[in-house]
Amino acid sequence: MTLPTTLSLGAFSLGFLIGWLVYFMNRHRKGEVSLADLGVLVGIFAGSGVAGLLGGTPGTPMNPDAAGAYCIGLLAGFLCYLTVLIGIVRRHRDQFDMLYFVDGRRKQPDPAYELTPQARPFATRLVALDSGDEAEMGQIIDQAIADIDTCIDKLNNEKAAEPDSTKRDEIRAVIKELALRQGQLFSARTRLDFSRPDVVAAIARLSQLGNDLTTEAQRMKNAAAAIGQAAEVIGAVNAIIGTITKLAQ
Amino acid sequence: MIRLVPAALAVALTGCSPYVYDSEINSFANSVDALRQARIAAIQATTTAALEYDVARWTADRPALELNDCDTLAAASKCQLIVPAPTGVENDIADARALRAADAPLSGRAYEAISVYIGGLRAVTNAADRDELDKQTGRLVGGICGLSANVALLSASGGASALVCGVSKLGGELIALSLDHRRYQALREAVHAADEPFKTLVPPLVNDLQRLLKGQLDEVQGRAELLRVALQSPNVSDYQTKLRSLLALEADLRRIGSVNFGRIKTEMLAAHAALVVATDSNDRQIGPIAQAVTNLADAVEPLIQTLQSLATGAPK
Repeated sequence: MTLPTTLSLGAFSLGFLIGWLVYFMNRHRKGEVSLADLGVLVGIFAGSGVAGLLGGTPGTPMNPDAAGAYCIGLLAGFLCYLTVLIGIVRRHRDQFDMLYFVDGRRKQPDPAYELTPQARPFATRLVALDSGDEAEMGQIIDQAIADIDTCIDKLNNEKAAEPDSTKRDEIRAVIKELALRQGQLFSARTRLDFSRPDVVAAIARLSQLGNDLTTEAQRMKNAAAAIGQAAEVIGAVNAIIGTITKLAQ
Repeated sequence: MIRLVPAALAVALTGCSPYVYDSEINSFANSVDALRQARIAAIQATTTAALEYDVARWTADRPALELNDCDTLAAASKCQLIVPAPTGVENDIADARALRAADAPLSGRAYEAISVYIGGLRAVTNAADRDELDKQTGRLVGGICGLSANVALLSASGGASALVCGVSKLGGELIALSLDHRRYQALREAVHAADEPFKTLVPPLVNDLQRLLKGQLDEVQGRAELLRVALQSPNVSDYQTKLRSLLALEADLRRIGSVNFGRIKTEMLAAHAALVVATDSNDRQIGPIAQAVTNLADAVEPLIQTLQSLATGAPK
């Protein structure tokens, strides 16, 4: 057995890195699997770029030692990633089981371990706009409104310090444009706030409760009025009896 | 001796009447209602500010203005100021203004719901209604006592008359007690049922108010900007008046900025939660409610003062 040359070591390292990345990228892919992916993989493993790197001079065949080391590196990188992933999954059995490797499923996390919306990257949070998560959409809009406020403040400071009137007008135009955009965001927030199903239901419920209370109050008022009428009738009867009593005496 | 029993029972019953928190409900309703009024005032003040901003803009720009459709009496209602396309100073917030106007009905429904709810709370705990009930019950009892006395005179049975009078007093107390319980029960059920919807509705309502005030801020800032530009010109006319106006606008801006909407939101929720807790036990937990309602009134006060000041302030 011969000692590995620098070329073989380099080829192994390159293969390892590419093997690792291939697993990583395949794991996080969003698109559907297709036959074309195979072509891409072959291109990565044995494409002209790799052949050129490992073959020494252009036109000559690939160095067999380097090619072998490259392929071993590819497999090692791929398997190493898989091993690390299995290790992580086994270590966190409360959150994952081996089904993760079948379709990526995970157990419902403890609320204490959930990512807060603020902790998620902005790009991930934008998914909320498609998913219909109104609370998160509201937060995104609020954040954008606050960001515009910050921008406007900065621009106002810049404008105040700008001696050139033409540039000041340019800054002013940008501020106005931002203010308009902010107005649109405010409008979107209002529409979002008041079209939420829970808000619509709350409006209906409060109105109904208010109306019920008013009706109940009216009934009690009517009871008092009925007592008043009874008092009047008794008063009238009383007056008649009083007159009769006087006449009888 | 037996004649005294109904009277004694009637006296004892007067102490069993549940407390219906009419004054606390009234204070709470006043503060919440103040927010509704604040919204109306904010819309009016924004309209005034918008008009003043337009006047300031037209003055700065000096466009040739004309009135359209004012020639005949029939068309007078359509009389409208026609402003040509701006040449110098643009109306940069016209679109934002239109957006706000389009959104107003959305929040209007929510304010209406809150208004109906607090109107119902007020109605069911109305102290005047309770006084009226007492008055009518007193009249009825008096009438029955008088009737029984007259009948006793006719039939010469004085003892029965006193008993009938005592029983009628007891009956009167029972009626009042039963209506008070009904009133308390209605209040308790409504306050509990409304707690979740109230919690849901308060944040968007206060946010909406905040946005309305932001609209006002934009209008006032627009006018301040026009004045600032005008004051930079070396041959500006009535410099002192413009300077004073700018200072007054600056004060308005500071006032708008000082309103703490977060606190208003918190205190509104706290005041309603205090009502829920108090009506749970019926042991007259007036202290916490009174404190919560006072805190709410304190939180709302700066907003009301700001809007009043903006609405009634001299032209700037």
